[in-house]
Amino acid sequence: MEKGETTLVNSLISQLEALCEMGGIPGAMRTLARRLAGMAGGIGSGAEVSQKEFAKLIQGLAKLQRSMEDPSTSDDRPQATPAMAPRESNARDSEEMDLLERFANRQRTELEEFEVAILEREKGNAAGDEIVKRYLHTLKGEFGVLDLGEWSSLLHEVETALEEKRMGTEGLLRLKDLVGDRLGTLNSSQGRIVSAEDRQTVFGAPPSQFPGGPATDPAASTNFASDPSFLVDFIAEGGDHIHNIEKSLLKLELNPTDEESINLVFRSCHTLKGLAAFLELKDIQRLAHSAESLMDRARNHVIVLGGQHVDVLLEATDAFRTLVDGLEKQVTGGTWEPPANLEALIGRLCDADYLPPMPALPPEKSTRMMGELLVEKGVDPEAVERALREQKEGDTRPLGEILIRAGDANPRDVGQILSQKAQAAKSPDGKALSVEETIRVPVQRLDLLIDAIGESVIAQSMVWADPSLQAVRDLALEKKIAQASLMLRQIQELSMSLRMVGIRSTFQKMSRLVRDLARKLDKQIELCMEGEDTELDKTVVENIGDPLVHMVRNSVDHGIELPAERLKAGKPVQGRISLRAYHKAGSVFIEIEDDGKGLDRDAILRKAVSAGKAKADQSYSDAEVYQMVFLPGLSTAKTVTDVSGRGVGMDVVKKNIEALRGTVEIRSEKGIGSSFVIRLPLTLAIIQGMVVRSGRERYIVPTLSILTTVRPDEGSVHTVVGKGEVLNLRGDIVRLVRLGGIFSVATENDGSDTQGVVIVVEDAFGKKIGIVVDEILEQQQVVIKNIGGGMGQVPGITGGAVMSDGSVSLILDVGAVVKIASE
Amino acid sequence: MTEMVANRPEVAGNRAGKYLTFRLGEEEFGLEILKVQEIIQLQSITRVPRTPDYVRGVINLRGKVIPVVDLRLKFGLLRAQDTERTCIVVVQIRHADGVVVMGTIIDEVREVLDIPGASIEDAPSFGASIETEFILGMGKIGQSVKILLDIDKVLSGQEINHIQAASA
Repeated sequence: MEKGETTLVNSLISQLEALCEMGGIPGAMRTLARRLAGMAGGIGSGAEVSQKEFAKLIQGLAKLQRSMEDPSTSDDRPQATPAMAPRESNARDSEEMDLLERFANRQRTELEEFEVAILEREKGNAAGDEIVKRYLHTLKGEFGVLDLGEWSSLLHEVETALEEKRMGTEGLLRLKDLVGDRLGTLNSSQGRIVSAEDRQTVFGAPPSQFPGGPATDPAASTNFASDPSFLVDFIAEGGDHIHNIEKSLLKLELNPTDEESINLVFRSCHTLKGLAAFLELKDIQRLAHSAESLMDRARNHVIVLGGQHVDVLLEATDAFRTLVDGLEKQVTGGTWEPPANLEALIGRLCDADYLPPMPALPPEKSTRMMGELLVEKGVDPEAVERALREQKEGDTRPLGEILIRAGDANPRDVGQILSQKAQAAKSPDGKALSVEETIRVPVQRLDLLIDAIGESVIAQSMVWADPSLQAVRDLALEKKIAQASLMLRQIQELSMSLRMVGIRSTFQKMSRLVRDLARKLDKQIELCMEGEDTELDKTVVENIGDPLVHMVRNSVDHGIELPAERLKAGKPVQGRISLRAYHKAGSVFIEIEDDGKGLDRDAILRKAVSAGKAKADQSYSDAEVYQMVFLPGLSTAKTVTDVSGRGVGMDVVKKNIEALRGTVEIRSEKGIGSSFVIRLPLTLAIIQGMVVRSGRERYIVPTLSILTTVRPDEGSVHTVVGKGEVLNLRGDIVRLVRLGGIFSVATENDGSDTQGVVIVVEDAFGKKIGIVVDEILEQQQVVIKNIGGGMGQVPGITGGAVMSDGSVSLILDVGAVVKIASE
Repeated sequence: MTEMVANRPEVAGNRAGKYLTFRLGEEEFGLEILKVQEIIQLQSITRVPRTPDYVRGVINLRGKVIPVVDLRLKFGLLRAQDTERTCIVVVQIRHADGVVVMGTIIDEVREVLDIPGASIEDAPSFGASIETEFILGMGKIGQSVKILLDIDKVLSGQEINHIQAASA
């Protein structure tokens, strides 16, 4: 037992003993107190006690207190009057806290089930009704056991109201929300009280303002008393919710009455609020609450979401993100300042409906009554009235059936309406249920698995290559080994796919970016996205975000013209930026295309010349000129805006993409638009490589960069004095480098004219060179390994690969080799 | 790497402990045992081009590729023929972004010694021309003196500097 707990138990014992000495209490109670003191004494003396005994002790204590305050209350019935005064929190010992915590955790899932049941109940599902009632009853009991008298009596009232049919789905949902919100605060004296406001929340109209106004100082806003692992979970989960909110908000902007999106935002805000409340993250909780209230009004058709609502909600999303980021920083031990404008933002959220409330929209078709819909289909209203009367008088048949039997309605109409209703009942909640199930796994563990599988593939091929096994000529054995290696490969491929994620979330960020920038710059831009479900390695997805932001920003700022200019040029006022992702030829392509003014070839060249990056008298191809955009410090923007134009960025873009072993290509046509095509490897972990030999060393050349391999004839290699060798490749002059030369490989022979094999490679800029090696050994898939953190960057080498004999071979960095060769 | 120097913990107090001693040329050195991950036989090393001499190359340590540094060359001794006693001490060094695993080639492993703090003296100052900052202290055991290395400094700081300088 912890030391602190012992002290608590001891103080408990003395309190109980004092109670026994007190006069004027019933004998039975005195006995109970004495027994409890005995139990507590046992615990205090350090004997091993089970959790169950603790629970018993606490229950006993609760019972004792209840009977003291209201001796007439029987033990198994929770108290109906909220007479209990909140006790000092220090009297609540840690065991009770523990119980409360467990209770709260359990209720969190059960509340979700409760909600499902409420919705089922609304549809007339008897089982749902049953579950609701049972849950209410259980909850009442649990509150009683936990000594939460006020809550217990609230539940009792709800039960009664339900029985008397004074309470409907809305009330139940509000109850669920209330309980969910307060679960985390039940251990505080404040959380124990069910205020009049709370009651009103459940029984009356929902409050439009967050009760309590600005709460607590920021220092108290993050309570780390709770388990940090909860916080870590919250950060991850919160991030998802924020993302969902943002996504749906953008949808709402286009279609303000999209029920599904409204509900999604509402639900996400609501969940955020609940989670934050549990972790006592007051700022997030309050922000979520105000956002939720706003969404609630949209949901109930009190307001229609306009641009200003979406704006303020998006601002709230940003604030959420800042808060969650801050939380993350705090968890990892950093410092962080809470956003200063939070109060103002919350104020505006509560205030965002300063517009007069819109007239309530007609209720959705699906929620209307059968009769109404039938009348619309041309059924005589009087017949419907008659049928309804019949129903009231005890006819248990559905309305539709009565009408059909009486010949007042035709079966086809009724069927149609019924199926419509069924459809409406299914969505959107039906949709949410069909979401693919996922498990959150730490990336580190995943990588360990992938590593281990990669190693087992190597181990397997080492076994296969073992000479003693090779000596055995046994067809059956070979078959078995082949089978095993096939399966191992399959597992490896599968493990690789674990790291693959869709690029959707990255694209999603762009739509927000484009929207904000376009507003800022007074441009009209439509963003089209294609292939958001294209999957690529998680690392790639994470690292491609920043480059994409830069490029999209550039397209918005420099690409798309102002509406007036566009009109003058005979283009539609609204500019268009397309983001595309697709798989092709073993790579992933991401395209950013705009229909703006295109790159200004001359301006770029002028700038490059003046910066000393290009020669004025040399002629450059279009592609070469466009690549100059990526040179550091080169910006053609005439004015530096806060959006872009400082000339930093594009070089970083290029660097980032190259770090992912990708390339960028620019196509542009003046006045029509430009497109940036990013080509990325499917996975960062495996490449197809050609194993080559130079001297006694082996190197791997990535197959993707190889154009062709040739064994040059005597006459095709020429030596240009002072410049080195060139190869005449079917009329193309290709510069040659000897791998042994640039890597100073110890040569076996005296370096006399061995021609070797030329591997013609192409770098990211389309520059070709021929690498001369002694021999091509084989083609192989290799797992790229970092060549050790302590090595830093080695020029010409991207990494190492463990070969089937267990040794390491180095993988060439073709881009760097080309660079070295041209030095 | 000035930052690392500045952050150098106060070495005087906390140097007592177990050291793995090894021979390099004629000298005996000591390495904090907590930094040592394992000792492995010399195996085939893949040379990495365009790196300083003392970087012998990389090896496959159970599927992980780690760099191997020849401490002889690192300390300016002559390269020796590898013998059957030559081995690789795999160390974990602290680096700006975490722990890095590296191999160090030494001539011969001697023993693990528990050296009390009283037997450890600061490195004598040899004047500005000789770097002593990677020496944790001098351990006196009987008649012999062992040079106790601060392996973090020996490998992490300069290594990367040199390699990056080579690539620039």
